[in-house]
Amino acid sequence: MNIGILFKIAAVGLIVTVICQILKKSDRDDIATVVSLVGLVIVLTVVVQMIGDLFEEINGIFQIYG
Amino acid sequence: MIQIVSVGLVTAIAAMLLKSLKPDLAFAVTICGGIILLLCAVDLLKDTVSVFWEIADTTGLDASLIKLLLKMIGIGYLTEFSSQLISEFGSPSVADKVVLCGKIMILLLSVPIVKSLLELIQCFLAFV
Repeated sequence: MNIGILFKIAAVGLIVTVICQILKKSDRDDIATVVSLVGLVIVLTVVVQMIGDLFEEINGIFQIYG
Repeated sequence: MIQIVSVGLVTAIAAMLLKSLKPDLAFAVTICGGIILLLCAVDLLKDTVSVFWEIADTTGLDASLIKLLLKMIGIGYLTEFSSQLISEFGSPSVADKVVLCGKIMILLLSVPIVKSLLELIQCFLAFV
């Protein structure tokens, strides 16, 4: 289930880097920064969701109610 | 076991690859790999916790003690995970503070146990 998420994040990183390179070459640097920001935001939402799942899982076992 | 090792290797390789391209995405990949490993560990942990409860039922131990014990283990587990996560982000001072708070919370949890122990000793002394 979860190994795919890892590849998705790496893929997003690669795609964002490629797009930034292309935009930089066609001297549209402002769009390049926006694209890299959007890529970062997507990745961070996935990471935060995973952290939430982990905390729920641990809460299920140890009943910390933390 | 092999799955865990393979996930670790894949995370390390992906992080190394991404480090050269985009450093901030690299640490996201390492965090996701860490979380995946921890999810596997938590699944393994589920069985041992049920054994805990069986022992508690057979020996007739007070359920609240076991609950407190499990809570302490959980807090230790969580503080360890989050402090390493924070030091991964690059601020070890905050990570140490999280560890300190975790210790204080565990201490806070242990107060009722100590109190019940003292009461137990007092009633023993009452017999003497």
